[in-house]
Amino acid sequence: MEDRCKLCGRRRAEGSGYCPYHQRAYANLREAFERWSRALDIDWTGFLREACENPGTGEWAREVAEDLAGGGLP
Amino acid sequence: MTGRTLVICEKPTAAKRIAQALDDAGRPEGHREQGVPYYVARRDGAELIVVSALGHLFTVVQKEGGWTYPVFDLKWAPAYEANRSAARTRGFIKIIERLSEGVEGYVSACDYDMEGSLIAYTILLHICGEESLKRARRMRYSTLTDQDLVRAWETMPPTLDLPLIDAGLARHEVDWLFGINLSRALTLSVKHATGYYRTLSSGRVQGPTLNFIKEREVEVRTFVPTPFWIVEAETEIDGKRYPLEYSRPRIGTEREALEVEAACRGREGVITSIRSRRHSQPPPPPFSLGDLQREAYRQLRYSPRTTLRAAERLYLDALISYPRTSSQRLPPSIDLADILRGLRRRHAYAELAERLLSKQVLRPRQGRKDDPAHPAIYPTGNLPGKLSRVQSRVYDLICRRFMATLGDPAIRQRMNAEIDINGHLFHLKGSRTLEPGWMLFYKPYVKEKQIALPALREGQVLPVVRLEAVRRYTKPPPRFNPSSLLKLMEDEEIGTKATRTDIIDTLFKRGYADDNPIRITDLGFAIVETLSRYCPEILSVDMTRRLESDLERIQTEEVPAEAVVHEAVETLEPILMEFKSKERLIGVEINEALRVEQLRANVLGPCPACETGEIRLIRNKRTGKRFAGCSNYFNGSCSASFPLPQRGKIQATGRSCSRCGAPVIKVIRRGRRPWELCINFDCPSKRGGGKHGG
Repeated sequence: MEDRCKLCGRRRAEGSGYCPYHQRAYANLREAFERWSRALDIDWTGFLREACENPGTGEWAREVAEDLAGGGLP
Repeated sequence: MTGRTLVICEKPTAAKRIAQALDDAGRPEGHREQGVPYYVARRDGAELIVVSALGHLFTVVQKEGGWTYPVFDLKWAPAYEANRSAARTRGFIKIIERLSEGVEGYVSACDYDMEGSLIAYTILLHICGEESLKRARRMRYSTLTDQDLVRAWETMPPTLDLPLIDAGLARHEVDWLFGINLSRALTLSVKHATGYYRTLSSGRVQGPTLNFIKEREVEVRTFVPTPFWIVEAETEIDGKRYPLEYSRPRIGTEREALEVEAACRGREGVITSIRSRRHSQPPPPPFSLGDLQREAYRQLRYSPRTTLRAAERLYLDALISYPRTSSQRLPPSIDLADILRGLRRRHAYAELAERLLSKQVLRPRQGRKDDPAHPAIYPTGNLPGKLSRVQSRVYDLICRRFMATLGDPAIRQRMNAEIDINGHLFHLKGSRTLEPGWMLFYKPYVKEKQIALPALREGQVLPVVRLEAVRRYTKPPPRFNPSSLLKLMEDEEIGTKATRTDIIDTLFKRGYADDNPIRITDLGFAIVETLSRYCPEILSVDMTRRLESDLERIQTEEVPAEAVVHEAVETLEPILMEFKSKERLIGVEINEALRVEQLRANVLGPCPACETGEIRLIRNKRTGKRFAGCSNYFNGSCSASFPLPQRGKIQATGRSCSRCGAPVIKVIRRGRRPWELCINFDCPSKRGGGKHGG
């Protein structure tokens, strides 16, 4: 199952541990972090915690945020 | 026209109305043979045999060969041969065949659109013979009122509308080619890979539509909110609080937001200017089908399918004009005053209709969209008999919209006081209606925003009773609902007004989408992913739009129908060959999604006994009977089980019973209202017939 996304079991995107959907969620998290850090004083860990708790965060983005917060790598 | 004429109508209700309208005495002879009604009317000494179809009596089928793909050889055949559910059409074909003997002339009196023209054409060609086409004429009408039908009879063009028929034939053939080949390819991929049969489908419009839902779902699921700040403030005037809007609706950083808050909190505001502006709000245009479906969804929460059904019934009862129209325009040939006189007879509209009738000129607001075949939807002015609740509400919406389009513009006034709070600009805004104009006619479907402001003057000092910077977050795009998906299909120009609603329904029926707002299922994801990996063209809006445009150009005789069908075959062939070469691989992938879907469908909820297992729907292999049992039964830690109703479809509701904690299920049986019940037979709620008592 090495070629499978660790979060959903779909096929992994090239060069990533995630499938294309979770990879897109990861890219969105990185982009959003840029905006968050311009908007307020927050570090990556704090941002991931906020993203996990925010009800507007999409299901896949939350899964990635939880994975990263738990020490996972993309 | 003398002698005997065969008049072909689309549905039995329409046949009865047409026969009554055309009969000199308004009393045609009604007959019924083998459950098939027909009428004999007399007009100007001629005998009219008015027969009915049952929608399409003929359809496209495979010419020869088995259940495989690709298939490009097709023919038109009786619908009952292709589809078991069309068994009733056999009787209609037989009766029309008998009644057409010795007939001198033929009239196509089906609904005036592509489908109607095609229904009559295939009947003439396949039942009455090719010769009949030369002696056939076409009635063109937009309502089933006596007046409109007689006018249509008297002004009939001498031939059938052949370009429209050609376009209809090509559309059916192209859609069949895509539908049959893609559906078989998907179904057989799973069958050949796993031996498991499950009907799967895709089509020329279905694929791109499912892709819209999938793309939106991905946007929602990968969305990450971003914070922004708004400054909320309130003032108090004469003991009443009014909201103040900060001049910047969004502040991007917390620092800036806190600076504004610190600068303004505890300060007073001063009115620096007061502006008042009157503006005119024109009436809405009359309804096209899409507009009606959207408005009925917005106002009444009716799905596009429910609205269409109600509108079609109202049309068959001659209460409204033909609903499948793209037009937002009412041509001058419509006698608006006569319709209003008709509406005036109804108590609910009497006063409103009278108001409009007292106007010197009746000029409806016209929309941008036009339809060469039909005007926008309007009431005929006939008095309705007994209507169902849905029909009655859709009718009311149409009548009030029609009257609103004839109203004067509404005059509204907007007031805006600019308030300076320590160098920061805030607004105090109000609005009111000065002259309701058309809004009066469109109540209760129009909601006027009224914010009355007290008397204000420049230089006036206002207290700021509340002011704070509040953090908000950006929101994901909304999932589609049936109405917004229909709008997107319209905007993207895929499908037609006649097919879009059915396509959305099919996505639900196949299990590709569910819920409202619409969510794509795992199976839907698997279908889109597979198609996008192996034949992305099928999901392409461009390809289907190009075909759509070609099909329209057949109507204007710019392209021959055969060329468009040929192009569809040329497009499909390489796609299907590629698909076939990877069939087993595709089948395994789709089957995986089907397996997950089946597992999920069988989970009814958490186990109330052990609280760690899941209550699942299980079928006894020996007896075939179903029951619910805990998933922990297999490891020996829980033996909870519950009997289930043996008939009907069972769906999990996602809720547990408030009395005993067991899952609540929904049971759906054909012809009955679905009901919910707690699966625990001994649940206290069932003693004394509680609401989950079944």
